[in-house]
Amino acid sequence: MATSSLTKSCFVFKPKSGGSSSAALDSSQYFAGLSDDMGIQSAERRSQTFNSTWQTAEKLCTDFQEEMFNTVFHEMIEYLQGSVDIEEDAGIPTATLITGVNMPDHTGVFRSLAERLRAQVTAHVAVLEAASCTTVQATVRAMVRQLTAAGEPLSPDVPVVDEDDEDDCLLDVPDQTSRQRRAPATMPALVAHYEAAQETVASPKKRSPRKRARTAPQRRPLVVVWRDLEAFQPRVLQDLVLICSQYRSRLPISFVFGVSTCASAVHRLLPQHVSARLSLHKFHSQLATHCLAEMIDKVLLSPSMPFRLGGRALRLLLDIFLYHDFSVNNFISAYKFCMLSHFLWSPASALCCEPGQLEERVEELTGAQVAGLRALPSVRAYLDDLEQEERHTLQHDGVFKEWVLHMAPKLHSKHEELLVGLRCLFALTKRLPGALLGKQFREAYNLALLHALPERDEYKRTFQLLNMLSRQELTATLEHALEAVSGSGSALSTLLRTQLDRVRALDDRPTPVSAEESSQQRRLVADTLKQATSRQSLRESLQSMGAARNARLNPYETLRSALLAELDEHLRGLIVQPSKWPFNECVVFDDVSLVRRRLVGAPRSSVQTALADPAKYLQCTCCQLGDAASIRPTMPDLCIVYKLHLECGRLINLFDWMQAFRAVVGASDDDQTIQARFAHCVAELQFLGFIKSTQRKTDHVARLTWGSC
Amino acid sequence: MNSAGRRTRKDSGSGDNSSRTMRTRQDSTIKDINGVLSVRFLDDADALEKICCISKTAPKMSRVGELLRNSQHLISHRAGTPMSVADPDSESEPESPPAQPNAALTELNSAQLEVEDTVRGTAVFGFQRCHRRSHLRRVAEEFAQKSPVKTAAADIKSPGTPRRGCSGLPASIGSGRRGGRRPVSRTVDDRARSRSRSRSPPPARSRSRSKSRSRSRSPPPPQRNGRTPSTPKSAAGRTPQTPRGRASAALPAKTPQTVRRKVKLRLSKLKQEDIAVSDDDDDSDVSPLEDSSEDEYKAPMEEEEDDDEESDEEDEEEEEEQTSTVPPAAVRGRGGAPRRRPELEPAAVSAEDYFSLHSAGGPTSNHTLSRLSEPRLSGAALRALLDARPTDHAAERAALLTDLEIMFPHWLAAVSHGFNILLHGLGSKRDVLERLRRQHLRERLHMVVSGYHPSVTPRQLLLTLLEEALDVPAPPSKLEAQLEAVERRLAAPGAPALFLLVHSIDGPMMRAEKMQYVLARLAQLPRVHLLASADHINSPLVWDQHKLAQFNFLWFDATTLLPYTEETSYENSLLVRQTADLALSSLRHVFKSLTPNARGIFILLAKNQVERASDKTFDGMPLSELYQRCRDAFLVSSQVALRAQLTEFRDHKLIRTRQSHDGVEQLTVPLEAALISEFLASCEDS
Repeated sequence: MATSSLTKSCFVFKPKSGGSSSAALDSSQYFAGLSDDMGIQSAERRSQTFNSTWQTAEKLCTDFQEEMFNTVFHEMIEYLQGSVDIEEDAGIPTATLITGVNMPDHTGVFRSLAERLRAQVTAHVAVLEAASCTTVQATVRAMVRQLTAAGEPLSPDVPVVDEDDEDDCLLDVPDQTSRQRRAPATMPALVAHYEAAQETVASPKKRSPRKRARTAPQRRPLVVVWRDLEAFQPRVLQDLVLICSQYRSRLPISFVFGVSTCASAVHRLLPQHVSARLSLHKFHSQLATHCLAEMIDKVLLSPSMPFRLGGRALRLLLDIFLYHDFSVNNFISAYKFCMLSHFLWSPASALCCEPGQLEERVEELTGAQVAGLRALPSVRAYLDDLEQEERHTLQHDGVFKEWVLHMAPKLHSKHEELLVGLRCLFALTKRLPGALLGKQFREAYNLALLHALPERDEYKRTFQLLNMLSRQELTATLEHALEAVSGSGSALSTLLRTQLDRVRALDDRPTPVSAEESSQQRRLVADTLKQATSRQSLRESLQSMGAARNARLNPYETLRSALLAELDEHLRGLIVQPSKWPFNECVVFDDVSLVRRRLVGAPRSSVQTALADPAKYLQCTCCQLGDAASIRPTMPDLCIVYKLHLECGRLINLFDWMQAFRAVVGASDDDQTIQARFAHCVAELQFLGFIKSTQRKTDHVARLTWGSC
Repeated sequence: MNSAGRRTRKDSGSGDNSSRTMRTRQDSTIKDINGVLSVRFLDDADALEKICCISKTAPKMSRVGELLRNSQHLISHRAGTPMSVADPDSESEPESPPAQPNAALTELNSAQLEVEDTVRGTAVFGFQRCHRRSHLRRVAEEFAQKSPVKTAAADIKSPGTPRRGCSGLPASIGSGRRGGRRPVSRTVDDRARSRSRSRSPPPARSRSRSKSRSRSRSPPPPQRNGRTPSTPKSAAGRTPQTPRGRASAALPAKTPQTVRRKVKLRLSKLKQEDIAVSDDDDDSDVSPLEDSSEDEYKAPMEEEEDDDEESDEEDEEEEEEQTSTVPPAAVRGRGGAPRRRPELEPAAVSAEDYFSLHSAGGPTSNHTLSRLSEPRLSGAALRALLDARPTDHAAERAALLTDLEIMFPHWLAAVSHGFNILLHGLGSKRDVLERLRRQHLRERLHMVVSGYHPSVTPRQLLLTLLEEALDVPAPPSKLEAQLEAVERRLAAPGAPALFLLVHSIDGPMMRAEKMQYVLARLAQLPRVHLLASADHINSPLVWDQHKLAQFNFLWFDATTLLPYTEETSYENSLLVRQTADLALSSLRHVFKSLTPNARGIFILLAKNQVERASDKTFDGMPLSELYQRCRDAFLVSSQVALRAQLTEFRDHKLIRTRQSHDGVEQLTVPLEAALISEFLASCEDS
C-alpha cells in the first residue's frame, strides 16, 4: 500500500499475522544486526547484560527518587492532612511547592505527589494541567471529574464520556450505562457527591460515636494540585480560586500550587482580592543540582553498577544538565543511552557484568573474542610493558583467559579504590581556599576520570596548602576526610585514623622549649631593632629572622609534613585514571562524539554542510571544493541554487537567480528543463525554510537566513 | 550602449557637458526599451512597429541603435509566421537564420539589461558575496596594474563584439559575468581613481558602483553568451575567493581614520576567531554545546589541557582519526556504522552578517519572470521534465541510502529501549523511513503520518489511530478524550506495540502547538515508538524543554540529498503553476449545486474567456457586458440579481473580480483556458 495520497495523510498498516505484533520488541536481534563478525557471538549476551544492568540502574534511580520525594513531601503532606481543621475564614489552605525550573522532571514529581496524597491524605485528588484547562468551564469539569472519580477507577475499555459529547455519542450503545452513572461536572454536583461519600464513610462508624470522635477527622480534604501554575491563564485561575472559596464552607478544598520560578509568581498571577482568599504556605522541593549530585552518588558510582561512564562522556552529560535543562530525568535518559551504546557497539562489553558472573563469561569467550580483547588499546599498552616471556605466554588463549579472569575483577575494585581516594582528597580540599577540585564531588570525579590527577597542579597545590594548616585546622580536615571514607573500611581510613591519633597525641605533649624560645626570640628582635639604622636594614634583618625561624620546624610541622607525605603516597596509589587500567574498555564507555551527535541534535548544521559542501556527504571527486564559497556545475542543483542565493541580499529576484543558475550549470539542457530544475530547487529551498515568497516586489522571494552559510 | 553607460558615469566624474545630453537621451531610450521587453511576446508586425519607433528615438545610441536596426531588418525580412519565443538557449550568433529575430531580440534584451544596470548605477544584480567581491576587486587591480595594455587588447580581441561608441572600444555585450562590463577606454588616472574608490569602503551606493566596476575587471570568461549576458559563464570562470578581510589588510594608509579603525577592529576580530578555531582543534568533535560550556565551566581544566597532551595523546589521536579521516567503523570495528557522515563543523556565522544583510539590502533588478517563454510551468510538466533528466550522483546517493539502511537495527534497538528517533539532514527522508518500514516493520502494527500533507490534523491522526489501528469502534470526539482513550488502550495488557512513522514532523500543519502536544503525549507512551524526520532548518523551535523531554529523541543525521519531490508537491511553489485538477473537480462539484440560471451565467462567462483566450490584452469580462449578455439570454432580470449570483460565485472561488485601470469591474474564471474548455465540454456532455 502506498503512503502517498492527495487526500489522506495517515496510513495504518497492520501485520498480516496477528500474533507477532503484540509480542514485545526483542532488541537482541538488533544487537546482532549491528555487530560485525567478532561481536555477533556476544550479541545476545550483551543484550541480556544491558537489560539486567539497566534494570539495576533503574531500580537505583527509583529508590533514590522515592527517598527524595519522601523528604520533600513529608512536611507538605502533614500540612495538608491538618488542612481540614483550618478555620473557614483563614482562606483556602494552599501549599505552594517551589519546584524549580527543571520542567521535564515535574511530571514525575507531580505523579508521585498525587500518589502520596491519595495514599496518605485523601482519595479526592485532582491534578490540573494548564494545557487542558484553558477556560473556567474546562477547568471546573476537569477538577470535578477527577475529584469525584476517586474510588471508582474506570475500567480501561470504557471511554470517558463528557456530557458535552452527548450529541456525538448518542450512537454509542455500550457507553450508555457508564454515561448514565455520571453526574454533570459542576460544583453543586461535587458537593452532592462529596456529602454522599462522607456519609458512606461515616455510616459504619455511627455505631460507636465515642470512637468516632476520637479517631480520624470526620472530613477528608479535597486536594487540587495545580501543576505549573505559571502556565495557567490568570483569569481562569482567579475565577477558580474565587469559586472554590465560595464553597469552602461546604467543601474542605485545599490547593497545591506547583510554582517553578519563585513564590512571588503567585502574587503576580493573583490580585490581592483573590490571594486574600488563600492561606499560603511555602514548601521547597530539592534543588535540581542537589538531586543530580545525589543521583550520581547513588546510581552512577554505586558499587553494584558494573558499567561506568568515561570522563568525556560524563562531562558532556553534566554539560547538558547544567547548560540545557537541569533535568535529572533527561540525565538518566542520557545515561541510559550511553549504556545502550556501550553494549551495542563494543564487543568487549560482554565482560561488563557483576564479578560473580565473570567466570562464566570468560569461559564463553571464543577465539575471535579473545583476539579482540587482546587488541584493546589498554591491553596492548599493558602487554607492551611486560617482559618478553610473559607476553609470549599470554599469547596462548587459555593463559590469556586466566589472565582476564585475574585482571577483570580488579576493574571494580580499582574503581572503588579510586572513589575512596577521591572522596578523601575531596574532603581534604573542601575547606581549602579556591575550591581546587570543584565545589561538587562530581567535578572532582570527572577531573580524575579525564586526567591523571596526581600529576596535576590542583593536586600539588592541595598538598602545598595542606602543609600550611594549623593544628586545629589539620585535625578538622583529617576528621572530615576520615568521615568521608569511614564507610569503605579501606586501608586509607585506618591510615587517617592513626594520623589523627598522632596529631592529637602531639597536642597532649607539652612543648618545653617554647618559653625559652620565645624569650630568646624577643631578645633577638630587640637586638635587631637597636641595630637597625635605616628602615631598609630593619626590614632586611626582620626578613632574615623570619626565614631562619621558618627553617627550624617545630615538632608539629615535622609531623605535619610527614603525615602529608604519607597521605600523598597513599592517595597516589589509589587515584589512578581509569583509562590506564587494562580492560577498562569492557566497563568504561567514553565515545563522546557519538553521544553528542545523538543527544544534542544539530539539524541546521547538517543541512547547511550538505548544501555548502555536498562532497562531504557524497564523497565524490567531482564536487571537491577548493574553498567554501566556490560553486561547481557538477554539484546537485539544490546546492548550486542555495549557494547562489547566499550571494543575495534580503530580496532575491527569481529571474536573475535563474539566469545565474543557468550560467552555472551550463547549456547542457534546454531552457525548459533548466527552468524546471530551478523551479524544483526553489520549492525545496522554500520547504527547507531558506526563502519565502514575498509581496514586496514582483517575482521576488525573501531570504530568511543571513550570513555566509 | 554599454560603453555609453560607463561613459556616463565616467564623464559625470570629469564634468563633461556633452555627457549630460547623452544621458538624457539614453534614459528616454531605456524607457522605450523597457517596452521592447514585451516585444518578445508580440507578433512580428507589432514588434517591428515598436522597434522602428524606438530606433527613431535613439538613432545614435551606439549599441542599442545598432541592435534595433538589426532586429528591425530581420523581422521585416521574416515571413509572417508567428513568433515562437521559446527558442532554446540562443547561443546562436545573430547570423544563424532560423533563430535570427529571436536572437536579435535576446541581444536587445540583454543590452537593455545592461543599460538599466549601469545607468542607474545600482548594479543590482548582486549574486556576489561581499568577501568575494573584495577579492575580485583585488584581482582586478592587480590585473589592471600588470597589464593595462593587455586588457584593452584582450577586449579588442574578444569575439563578436562590435566596436562602437566614442571611445572606439568594444562594448562587449554579453560577455563577462553579470553584465559583463569590462574595463574599456580607461585612462591610467581613471583607473587609479576607480581603484582608490574601490579600496575605500564607501557608503552603499558608491560601493555598488565600484563593485560593478571592479567586477568587470575580473578575467574575461572564455566564451560569449548571446542570451544571458548577465550571468557568470561557467564554474571555471568563477574566481576563487579568499578569506574575508584579507583585502582590507592591504589598505593603504590614506584611507580615512574611521575606516582604518574599522579595519583594525575587523582584523583583531579575525585574529580572535583564528585563535578560537585553533583552540577548538584539540577537541576534534566540536559542537555548539562544547563551545559554550568549555569556557566557563571547564576553565581551570582548559589551562592544563596542553600539559596533559602526552597522557591523552593516544585517545586524542584515536578520536582525531575517527572524526576526520578514517570512518568510525573502521577504527572501532563497528561493522555497521555509517561511513559517510562527516563530522559537522559549527556554522561560522557572525552577528555582523545579520546587520550587513539588513543594512545593505541593495535594490534588486526589476526583471520579472514574464521574460520567460512560460513563466510558470505546470506541476505535471515540471515533473515530466525532471523525470526525463538523469539524476546526478546517483551512485553516491544510493550509497548514502544504503549506509542508512545499515543503521536500521541501531534505530530499532534504541526504539525498543524507550528512545525515539529523529532523522535530520538534507534530502528527502521519506525513502529512508519507507525502507525501514518495508524491511523491518512488516510484521508489526505501524502507522505512517505524512507531516508535509496540508490536511493533516491532530484529530485526524488520533481518529485514524483509534479507529484503524486500535479498533476502537466509536472513538470520542474530544481531543483530550481521544488521547486518553489511546493511552488506556495501549496501557492494557497484551496491547500491541505501535510504530509511529512521521514524515516531516515539522511540516506546515505539524507546527501547530496542538499537534506537537498530541505527538509528545503519544511518544511518551511506552508502547508507542516514534520514528520521525525533520526537514525545516528551524524545526527545533517547535519543541520546548518539556516536549523534548517527552519525545526523548535521539538525533540521527540522515542526509540523503534526495529531491523532496513528494514533500514539495503539496506546497504552493513560487515557480509552479497551481495544479488545476483539484480546482476543476471542486468547480464541478459546486457547479452541480447551482441553479440552472446560475449555471448559465457561469457558462457564459467561461465561454467568453475561452473565446478570447488568445487575446493577450483580455483581462476579464466587464460586469456591464456580462449583465447585458445575461439579460439577453434571459438569465437575470436585474443587476442586483446578477450581483447576488456573482457573490455566490466569488464565495466558492469560481470567479475572480478585478478593478481595471478605469475602475471597471472585470470578471475572470481563475483557471487555464484549456481547463475551462474541458469543463465546458464535460458540461455539454451531461
